[in-house]
Amino acid sequence: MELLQNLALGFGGAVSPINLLFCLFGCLIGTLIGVLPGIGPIATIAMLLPITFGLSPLGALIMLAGIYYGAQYGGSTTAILLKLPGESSSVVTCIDGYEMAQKGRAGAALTIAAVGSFFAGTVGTLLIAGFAPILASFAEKFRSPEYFSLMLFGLIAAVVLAQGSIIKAIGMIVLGLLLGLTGTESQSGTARFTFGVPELYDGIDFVPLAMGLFGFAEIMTNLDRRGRDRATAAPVGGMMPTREEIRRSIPAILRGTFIGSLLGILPGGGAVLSAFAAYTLEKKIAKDPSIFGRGAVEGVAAPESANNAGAQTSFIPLLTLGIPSTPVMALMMGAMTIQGIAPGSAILTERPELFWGMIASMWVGNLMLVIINLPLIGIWIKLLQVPYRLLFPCILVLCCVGAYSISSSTFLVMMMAGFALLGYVFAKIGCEGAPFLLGFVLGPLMEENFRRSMVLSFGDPVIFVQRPISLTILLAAVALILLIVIPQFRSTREVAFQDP
Amino acid sequence: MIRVKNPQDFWSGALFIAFGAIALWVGRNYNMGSIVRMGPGYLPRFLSAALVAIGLFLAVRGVAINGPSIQPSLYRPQIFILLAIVVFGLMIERFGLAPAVLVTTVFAALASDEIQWKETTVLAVGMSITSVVLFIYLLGQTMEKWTWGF
Amino acid sequence: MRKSFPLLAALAVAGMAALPASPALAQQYPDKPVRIQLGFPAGGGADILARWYADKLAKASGGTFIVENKVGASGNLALDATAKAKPDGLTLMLASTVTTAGNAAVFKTMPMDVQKDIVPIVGFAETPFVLAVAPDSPINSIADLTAFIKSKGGKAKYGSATTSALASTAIYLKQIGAEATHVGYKATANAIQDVTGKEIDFAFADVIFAMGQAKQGRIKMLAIASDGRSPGLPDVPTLKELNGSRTGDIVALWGVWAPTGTPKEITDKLVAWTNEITKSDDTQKFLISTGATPFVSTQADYKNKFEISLKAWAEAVKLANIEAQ
Repeated sequence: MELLQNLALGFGGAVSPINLLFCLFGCLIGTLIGVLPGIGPIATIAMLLPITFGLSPLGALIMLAGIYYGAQYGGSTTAILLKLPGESSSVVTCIDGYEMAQKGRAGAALTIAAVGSFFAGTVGTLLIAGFAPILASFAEKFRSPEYFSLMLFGLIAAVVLAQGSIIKAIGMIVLGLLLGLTGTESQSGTARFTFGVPELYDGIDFVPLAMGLFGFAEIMTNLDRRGRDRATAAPVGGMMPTREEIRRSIPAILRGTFIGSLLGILPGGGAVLSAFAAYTLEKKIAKDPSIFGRGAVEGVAAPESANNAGAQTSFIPLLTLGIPSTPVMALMMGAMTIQGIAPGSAILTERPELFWGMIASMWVGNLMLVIINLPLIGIWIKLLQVPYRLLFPCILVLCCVGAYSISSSTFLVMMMAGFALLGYVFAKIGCEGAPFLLGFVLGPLMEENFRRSMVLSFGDPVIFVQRPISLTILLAAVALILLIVIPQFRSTREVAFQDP
Repeated sequence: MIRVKNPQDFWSGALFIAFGAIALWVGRNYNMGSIVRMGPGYLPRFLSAALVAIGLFLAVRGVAINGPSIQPSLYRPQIFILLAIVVFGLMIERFGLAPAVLVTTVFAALASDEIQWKETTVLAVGMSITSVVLFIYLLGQTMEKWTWGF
Repeated sequence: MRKSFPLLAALAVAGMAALPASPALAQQYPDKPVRIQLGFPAGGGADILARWYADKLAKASGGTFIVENKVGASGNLALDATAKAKPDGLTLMLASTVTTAGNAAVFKTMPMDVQKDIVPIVGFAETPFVLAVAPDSPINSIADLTAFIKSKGGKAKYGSATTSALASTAIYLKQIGAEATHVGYKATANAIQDVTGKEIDFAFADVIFAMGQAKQGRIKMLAIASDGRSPGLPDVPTLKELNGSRTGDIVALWGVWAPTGTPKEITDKLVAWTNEITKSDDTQKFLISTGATPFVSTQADYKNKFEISLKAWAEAVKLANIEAQ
């Protein structure tokens, strides 16, 4: 009852015409930057920050939050159409989303991504409204040892992502981990693998790496193929998913939403895992895992829902504890500070109209995005009909500008060229990019949390099994290894018998 | 002469060995520490060694067991795509966004042997204008439209 | 306006830039967009500070001021970009003495010389660190903490996410003649969470973040590391008044910097504008609400503070045994 009253208060503030306008503006800008490779929500929100100085606090936050979700929705578009992941969370969407697009199911993939995101956003918003304090206290239990265990679990799950040879996937994870360690190490301050290049002191930027490894490698491979057999453009189907696709998507969306909501509340790295975890789960429980990587609709529905659920619930630590869990949240915190609001539990008691107004606007924003995005899908899939010889130079230019804009650095552009070559070689020799990128993202987090745990326990590894949450995750990791190893063992034995 | 039966595995192995060996060499002076008190060199060295081991396994398997061959490259797409990116990097700060995009589009279009010059010219000019409007005016990115700076 | 015949235009502009700036030219400053180099990512505390001042400078001068986030190598990329820029007032840098003096001490090799290639123009705010412990900890004062650290014989744990926090702790520990175990973090927020959750015993955190956390009762602030108390936190004593620790010398004093050789007409204007902004009511309110201390000064004052900071940082780096890069 109280919740309903609060929500009524929130909607009262959020649906005023001026705030709806801010929300719409934010969503539109967000969709635009989400679609443009390399231009992320962080740079855009930071740029718009001075504009918010003069706005009402609620209007300012509604607009900035709109940019954030808008970018989430828009990001999946390029991942599905062009195999260009805008951020770590849409890497997984590339795998099956792009395959679906190749088969003429781009419209269906985009529709399912948008609807799944909307559903997940709604659930995420309700969770914030109803259970934010409880969820936050759960998130607080995650400290260095728990994070290490969680990251380890994530890495093992990465093996499941592999479509081909498992040993190659492990090699790619290890290579990703190694590359992820580039930069200044946090305990001792040692610069590792920087070759004296100052741009590398803070590590390798994810965006040029992902664009090179996925987008550019795909362009080069495509041109090779077209040069040989003059393939016509990918078939363009309708934008409606088939009944079969809908049937398979619904449970995947539900599971993805659950995983994403849970991992999204963990500050410092939980959200990275959500899309990967959701994909892994789908592949593990599927009756026929071999369809994954060839355009499985579950491989789009689950990670996209997980992404968006996580994007919503990542507000929880900020709104209840005043702790920003991602760079975007740090920015939202900055916007609040400028407005003279101290983020944290005090908002709820001191400024209830602001707290509930934001929550209401989250839902309104999600609704707006699904309304904006569904008609856009028709336009996006038309893009695929543009002759490839015209399409790919445009993609290349947008990626270059995007890479440069990250920190006004030509070094990042050159680095992207290097990764493009590497990605092409990987594709030629059958090495997969997804496990590599997961290793890259998790490597530094894992090392940092492991070493910190060891310092905290004065060198006693028992710390990882003493804590119930950490122990539970580690046990789950062991179970996952068994799940991977047993069928593998069985199939090699079968092959050995059949193929003397 | 050993015949490579699975070139994909073999070259993956070679690549892993190369990366692992380079990482071992570059990281040779990083402080190791121990498992309890890991130094900054502990994990890099462990991972590099693991990578070399996996690489060796793959290379040997590539020689021993049959597998798919590597599709040949045309080289033209790869050369021009990479050139286009590098050209953009070289031009953006010296000449500004509009000229950089103009030239980059042409280089990129050259990657395909289906290139048509009239069309490419229109595309390059169009992309130049679009990117200036989009990135500089609409998104307020801090880039020069055109400039001349060495 | 830039012309479409770039070569001729560029030659003309280059020729003009080579001439000493005439008062007439300075009169119209800034006739072109001014780029403010910032060595911090978009969205952090430094970025908000920079955008606040850029926005106000634009209003005060009638020109355009753009914040350019040149992130990398602890701010060295921004320092380098500023040092190499033309001293025409169109490239400025917003940085604190922690980046300029601190990096000069921390890095074995610098891409530029902080004393020769860039000049401090005007300071505007000090963002000190506060020493925090868990809210329900029996430690209620610096005296309690000192006794606690000594009783643990090196096993008391402290967190740090920045060189400033590390150096401040080293100065404090040196003052009390004790040792403690260092736990490194990537972000101050994580270090403070571990203080709240009692994984570690104490940590220095930047005042903006610590104030919000203290307000919610998630940490207790024992002392502030600046020379004077912060106007936003009048009840928090300084480490200097409590036990004479000179952590105030390495405090972050934010200001505007420019490449050496920037005409005096331009820097004088910047000093006047910046001080006017700092004195204005809304800026005072904004700064104090975040725990920062507004700082109105002449160019000589800021330069003087920078020189003190240079010396203090050189000592602190040795003390904290920070590995030079």
